[in-house]
Amino acid sequence: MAEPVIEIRNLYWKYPNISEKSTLFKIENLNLKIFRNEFFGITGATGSGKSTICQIIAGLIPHQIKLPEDKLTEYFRGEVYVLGELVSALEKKENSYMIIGKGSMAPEVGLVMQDPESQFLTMSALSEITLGLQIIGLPKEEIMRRVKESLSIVGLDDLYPILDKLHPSELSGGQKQRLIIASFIAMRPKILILDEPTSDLDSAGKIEIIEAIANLKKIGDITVILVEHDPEILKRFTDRVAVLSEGNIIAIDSPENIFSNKDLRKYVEVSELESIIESDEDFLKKIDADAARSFKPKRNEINLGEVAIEVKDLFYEYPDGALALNGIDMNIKKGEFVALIGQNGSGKSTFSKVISGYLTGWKGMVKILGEDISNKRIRERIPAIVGYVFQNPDHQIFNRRVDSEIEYGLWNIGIKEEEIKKRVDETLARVGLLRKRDEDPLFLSRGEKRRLALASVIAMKPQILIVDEPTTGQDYRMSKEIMEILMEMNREGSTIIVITHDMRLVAEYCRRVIVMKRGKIIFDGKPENLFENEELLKESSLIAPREVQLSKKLKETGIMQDLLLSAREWLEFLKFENEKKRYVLLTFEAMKKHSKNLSREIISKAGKPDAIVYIERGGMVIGRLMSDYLGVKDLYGIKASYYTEDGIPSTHVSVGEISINIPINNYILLVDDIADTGKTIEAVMEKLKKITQNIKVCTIAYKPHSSIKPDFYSYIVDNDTWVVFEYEEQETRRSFEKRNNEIGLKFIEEKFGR
Amino acid sequence: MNKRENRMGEKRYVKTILFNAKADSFFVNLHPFTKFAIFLFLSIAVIIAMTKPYPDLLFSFFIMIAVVYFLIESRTIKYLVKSYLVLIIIALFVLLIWWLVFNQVGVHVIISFSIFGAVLKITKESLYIGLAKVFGYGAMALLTLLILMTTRDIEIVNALNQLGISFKKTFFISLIFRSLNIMAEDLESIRHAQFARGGKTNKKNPFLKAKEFLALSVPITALMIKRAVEMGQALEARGFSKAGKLSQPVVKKNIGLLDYSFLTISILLLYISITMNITQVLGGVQWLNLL
Repeated sequence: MAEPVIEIRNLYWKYPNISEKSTLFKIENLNLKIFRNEFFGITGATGSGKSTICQIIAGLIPHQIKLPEDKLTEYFRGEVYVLGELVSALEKKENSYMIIGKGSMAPEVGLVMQDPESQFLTMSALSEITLGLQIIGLPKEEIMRRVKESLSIVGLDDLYPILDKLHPSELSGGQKQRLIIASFIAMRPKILILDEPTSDLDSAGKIEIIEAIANLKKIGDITVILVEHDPEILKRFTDRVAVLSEGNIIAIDSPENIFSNKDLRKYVEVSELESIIESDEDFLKKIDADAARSFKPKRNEINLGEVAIEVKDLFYEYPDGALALNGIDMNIKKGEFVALIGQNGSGKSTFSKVISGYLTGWKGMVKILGEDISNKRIRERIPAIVGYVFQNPDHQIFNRRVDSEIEYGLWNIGIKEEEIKKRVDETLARVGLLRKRDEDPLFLSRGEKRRLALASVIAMKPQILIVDEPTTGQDYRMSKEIMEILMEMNREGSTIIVITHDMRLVAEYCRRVIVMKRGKIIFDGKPENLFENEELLKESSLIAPREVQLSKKLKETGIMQDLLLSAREWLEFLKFENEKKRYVLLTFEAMKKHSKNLSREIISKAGKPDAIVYIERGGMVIGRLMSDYLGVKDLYGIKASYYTEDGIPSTHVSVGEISINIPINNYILLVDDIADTGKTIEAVMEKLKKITQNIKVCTIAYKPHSSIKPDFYSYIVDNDTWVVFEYEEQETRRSFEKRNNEIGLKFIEEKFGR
Repeated sequence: MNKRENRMGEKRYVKTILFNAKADSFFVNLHPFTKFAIFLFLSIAVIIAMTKPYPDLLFSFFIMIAVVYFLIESRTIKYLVKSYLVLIIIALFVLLIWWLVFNQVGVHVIISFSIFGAVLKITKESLYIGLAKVFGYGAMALLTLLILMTTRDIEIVNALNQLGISFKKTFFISLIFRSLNIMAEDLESIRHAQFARGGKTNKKNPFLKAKEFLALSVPITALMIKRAVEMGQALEARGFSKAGKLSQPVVKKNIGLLDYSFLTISILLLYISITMNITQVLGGVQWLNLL
């Protein structure tokens, strides 16, 4: 392999904080080598330290941050070498330390950050690209030559003739970000760092950046570091990917290996679908066509109430003459969960400003819950009815305490003191911020701020809730948390309007999609109809999520009748599929035999556990048997399931509480009847790790596709085999009856009779 | 496609300090120095015209009409009508009333009335001078707006560079313009967020009003700090603090024929305002029977 251009040795870093509280290291004992001309990816959850590493490589950290001189070692340790030069290190001089090294590595290292707005420093597109070149001190002719060349690489050649007349506000987010990339390429860097360059962009902007990155790969002789959540982008462009968790690199490997490694699934953003499907082609071949044809996904088509929002002939023109809304007509009913999508400048934000009562001067008719909001008095009452959660939580934090932030809106709409107290407690508990109620919101993490922003609005109990980009800049896990809260509100009767660019979110949660373009509605219907309309997708620069694309392939071949929209529906479908395959019976006697053998193996290999935890209800029988055979009296049950109450597989495993009152000196034995997908066991292990890291897993049966391989198991079952446990006969029978699983029912009848 | 969109060949408008202006209009293409000189010369000319013993009403009126013409020509008149016209008319009307009430000059009484025992009279002379001031101040206000609405902030920065001010200093000014631009956008979102939470800065109770403004300061300050940090990082990522001798901006607007023509006309108008009273020359003052 080529020589390393970046080498980080034993690096520790933490940000200085204003409060006296001691904080943990943001980066802890990091060692990393990146090689010349490599396309290197960095991924990991929000807050795992990805951006910090980028700034360390660029030489901004620690040089640009003021640290207490007498405590330097508490904040920074280690060495950073870039292109053979020492960028940052600590040097001891007599009794004190000092930071040495080159610091900022510009122009050899370019750094493109997430938010194009803050990086665009000048008032014209031309001066933005030329700024770095002027800093280098290049002559005018060379500057213009490089401007042209770099614009061509990022695909903005068409702007060249008018570049000096372009103001930043005339550029879209994607264009701005590409211009920033061009401004660094023009400086001919040897290393270019792209820190989540697509996270703040709409679909069109994302496509533009992806194409620009593809061109970067073609120009060669440049090392690129790409920080990204999206596995598809990382798989497409990078040679190696590092996975970060809490400031540590936990894996570095090829993207294919990273995203297929089951142990890394909780650290990287992989759709639930990835855990089932290794390769699209192989998977599609295995689908049973007859079964697929008869499958109908269950979707919540709720009975909608009266009209909540009524809009007719809505027009709005901005002071600069741009027509933002051009004759909007729509009705949104109570209880709907609607996605409002479209490119930047399509009119989504203007429309939401109108229905939230903020914007005046529009023409047409807008009624909220039957009341015409052109009337000023009615408009002033709108905040109590229509809640608005902003994309950037920093825009909506008005107080210096978490609980005061919730109280703020409630006071404004005239809620009584006692009720305010009640609602503050309720809402903080709902978003998991109860313990942070006294803290300053400005110092919360990004995810916590986002939840606080949501809480401050939902506490006002709005009947209609508008949420702007709930998932921007957050990892999948965090996005799901917010979406689950919105779903809960929707179930309680609130009308939800989500403004988003995230098609996965649209597919999974929204039963109605409104697509806007240049101030007009160009589509209003169900997500499956939108995703089937290729022309419309192209026109609106939208990309269907992978789950939909895969089911589209099935539908095109005539195998499937309905599109599957989400991982949840795929799980449901696959469960349906599985029901048509093989069945085996495990009798109680056999269970006893297996448990006895397993307990012998456990004692000989791991010794006696301190406690046994079984997963309810499937693991209860084996839990009790193991307790007897192993002679362990401390037996605990824990609730965990990835099925909803109506028996539909969910993408989220909910785990109950557990408290173990004895000291764990050896280990906890976690038992279940079968390791099927492994997700339930995995989720319970996460919970138990809060008590001890010493956990061993034991199951009777194990399926090879399980994400967890138990430490002890009795026998392997094929992935497509349904194991019927004798003691679950009645329950399994009811489940088969409910789903009209004729083959399953026949099997039960054969084994147990009618 | 929106006629203001910025694809090649369709860049018919440029974004200016206030709104947009037609790219090929006269004032957009003037050098900022020329615009500054025009502003200076014409303002002096109008002040001279207004402060003559018998103000030159027609001169001020002519300047105002000329400015209105250039507002129309640069397609900026509609922004002026939408955003400022009502304000300007009210201001000028108040100015006229103020003048008429507190400057009891002249003998040719048009109307007189008494308020709380004080006799107020409006004379032909006071009305004439009041109108001359209205046209004069009106012309100056419109001229200021014309210049703001046809000048791009980057031009000011480049012009300062042409004056020999170092790039680092002019870049700082550019950064202020950019920060204001970003802040204006942030402020719009913050005000919307405050409204959505039932907060209104137009509350009648001054205590509540102050409280709302105080609440507004929390997100503004937090965002300003965040933006400043990010902009600092972006600047440092380009090596700004280590820069040696910087190249001059690549775009340099030269003073051309159009600039010389406008400068000549401005100087000529200044000369006219000093040496003659057009209203008097054309017989306007006599016609009003004031002499």
